[in-house]
Amino acid sequence: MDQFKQVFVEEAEELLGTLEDNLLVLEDSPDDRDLIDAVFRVMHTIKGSAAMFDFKGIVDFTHVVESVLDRVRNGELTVSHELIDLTLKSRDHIQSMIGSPSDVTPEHEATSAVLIGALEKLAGTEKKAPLPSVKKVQNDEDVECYSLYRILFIPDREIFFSGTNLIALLEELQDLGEYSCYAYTSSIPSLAEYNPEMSYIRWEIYLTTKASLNAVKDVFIFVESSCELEISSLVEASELPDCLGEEKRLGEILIGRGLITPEELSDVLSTQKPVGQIMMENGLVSSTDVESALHQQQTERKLREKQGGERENTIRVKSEKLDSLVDSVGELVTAQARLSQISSQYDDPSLNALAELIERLSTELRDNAMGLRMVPIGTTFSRFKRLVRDLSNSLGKEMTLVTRGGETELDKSVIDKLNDPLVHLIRNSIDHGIEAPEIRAEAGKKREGTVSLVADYSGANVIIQIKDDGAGLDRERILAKGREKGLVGPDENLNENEIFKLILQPGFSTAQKITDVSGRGVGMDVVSKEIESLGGSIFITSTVGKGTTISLSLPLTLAIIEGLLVRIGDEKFVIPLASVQACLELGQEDREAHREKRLFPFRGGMVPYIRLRELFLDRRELPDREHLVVTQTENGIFGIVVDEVIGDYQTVIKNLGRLYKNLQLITGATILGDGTMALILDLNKITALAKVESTASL
Amino acid sequence: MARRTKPVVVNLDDEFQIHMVNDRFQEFLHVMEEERPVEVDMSRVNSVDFAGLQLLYSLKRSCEEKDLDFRLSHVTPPVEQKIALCGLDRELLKDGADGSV
Repeated sequence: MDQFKQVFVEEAEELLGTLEDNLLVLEDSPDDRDLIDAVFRVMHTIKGSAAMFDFKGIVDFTHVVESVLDRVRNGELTVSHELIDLTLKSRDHIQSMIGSPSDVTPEHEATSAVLIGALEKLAGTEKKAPLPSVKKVQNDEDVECYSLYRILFIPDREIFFSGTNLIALLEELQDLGEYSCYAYTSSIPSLAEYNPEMSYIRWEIYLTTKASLNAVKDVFIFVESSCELEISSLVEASELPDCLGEEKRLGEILIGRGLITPEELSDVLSTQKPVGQIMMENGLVSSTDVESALHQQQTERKLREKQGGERENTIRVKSEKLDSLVDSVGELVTAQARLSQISSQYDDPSLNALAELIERLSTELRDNAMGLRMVPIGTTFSRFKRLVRDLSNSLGKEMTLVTRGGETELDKSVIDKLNDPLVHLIRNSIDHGIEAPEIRAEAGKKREGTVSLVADYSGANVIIQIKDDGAGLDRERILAKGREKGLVGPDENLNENEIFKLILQPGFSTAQKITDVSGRGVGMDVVSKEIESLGGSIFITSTVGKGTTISLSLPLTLAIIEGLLVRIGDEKFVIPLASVQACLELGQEDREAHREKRLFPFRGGMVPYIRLRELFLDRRELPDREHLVVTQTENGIFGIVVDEVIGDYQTVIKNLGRLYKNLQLITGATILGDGTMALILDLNKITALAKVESTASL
Repeated sequence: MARRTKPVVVNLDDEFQIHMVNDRFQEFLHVMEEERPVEVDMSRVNSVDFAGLQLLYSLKRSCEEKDLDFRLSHVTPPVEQKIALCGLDRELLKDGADGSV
């Protein structure tokens, strides 16, 4: 049962994430019926799932929230800021209860009581609501007539594995009205062929109820992806005379006596005139009105079917399993490299062909495995809507969060580590960047500030930008503070990005006041370190009075990259291929021509370069011909001089371990086909050194 | 026609739910090896889920295939309600079922 509960917790967490997103959008679009329905469905699903595991505290609480949302759904309550606020707090409270090892703690009960009181006050139902575990809330007074529904319900064979309590579900259905259930048992085998953990039943249920079709469908919300379900309205409410009860009972009596079958009853009932036809005959609507309404109905049905189909095509997999798969693929890629190397030493066409085939297949497998770990960043973005909303309220600022490029995908391990830096950057933008509404109005700006989160691909990297239209950074003040702290020499000239990047230094702050918003969590120096640890870089632009843009450049993945294998002396190194622009020869003449300045002509300009041999203190004589790898880095275009460029190489990145965590210029290591190791170069750090050297030589 | 010999009586506990159906399934298989009518004493059962009810139905079917009598005895009201709710009352309670405790 524990594994079922774990599934419940995981699914509930996911649903609560969706709920938060929907509530935040609903606040801006309070009349969106689809959103209201979606919010209600989430709460209903959580309640039903919690009931399966007897989480009574969660069930009782969600029941009250669901009741309030049902009133919204029925048009009795409007969507207000207060309603959204309370529902968001309720969502947080449910999340806290779900995370608790026991059902609920006394603290949870106290919070439930406070929230329930506030919700009931808002809904105008301040009496204590009855709280049966999974009883459906009925709104009988809203529907004047009965309807007859036929429900064909075939649970999937594996439905018990999801922890679904079928009897609780049928009880919920029974609570909606008069209920007749016919069990088709022909598929239930005798013990010899029986699996006690499988479901073999098929039910046909007739339900006479005042509840709407939606209310009936809601009963099946949390099993809709694990059953075949068909709910048909045999007789519309408006078609039924007041004496429906008698007719209904007559049909049941006839079935009970064995004179007619349920199918025959349904055939007879279905021959009654459809409601549209009656309305047309009475001149209430035109045939076009009916056709239009039918079209809408069909479209919605197709959409639901499509959504159902998409659900069936997904599968939930633990991220540890994907990590393990990628590790295995990494080992395979390494073994394949070894095979390719060995095959190249033999003049055996069969072996060479096999090595090529395995190389192609392992590349495909690598791409597929890496693809499985790619996650759209939109899910992370959407979490920040709540952050911005709450900060707006607490700081008394008016703000909107705009997100773009949410479909951009990054490796899950990168996204997981990106959350804290992004939280800090957004907090900073809101607290220090965006001005108070009055100040913005005086400056001729909109009272409402905007923070934008934008993601886009850039080669093998993803660029994430955090933009605000606030006060901007004061370049002169930052530079003065940098000089005061000794971070910038008295005669040192920095470009704009370098000046702004001073704010990433430890202990660097020009803020006039420290608030509880920006005083909490990681500092900008920690943000910088975390982005660097992801193999990323930060670029800052800002204009006083107009706003600031912080751009994070991040690698798509941290597991396997395309690299360029190079050699210096006997050692081999890997340069990330995404940064390589060109490979050129550096002969004796070129070395003589630019000996002092260490510059090399490239595409009409002069490119500074650094010799790795010197960097790694290899004092042997230079070879006659060297190679220059031209790279694009955050410091601009730079050349890396190596003895030899060997070729491209699928690089499985291995961490160097804690002992080497402070090692500069290296980001990791990889195992080569011959079993030796090659270090992966940190181009940003190396080119920063090259920049200092070329500036000094000028 | 079903054979009229002394039935094997199977006593169920307070709960008859999904987490115990595997054990009961094995027990029912052994019961069927005796080739005698089967009576399931439900007097102590207060809580049952559909996995339990479905297993009872499978036992009944097995008995029918071997032309053996099958009956539930001493069915408690809450269990009777659940059997009816699932539409199995005609199958499990109609012949020889005994609602008395």
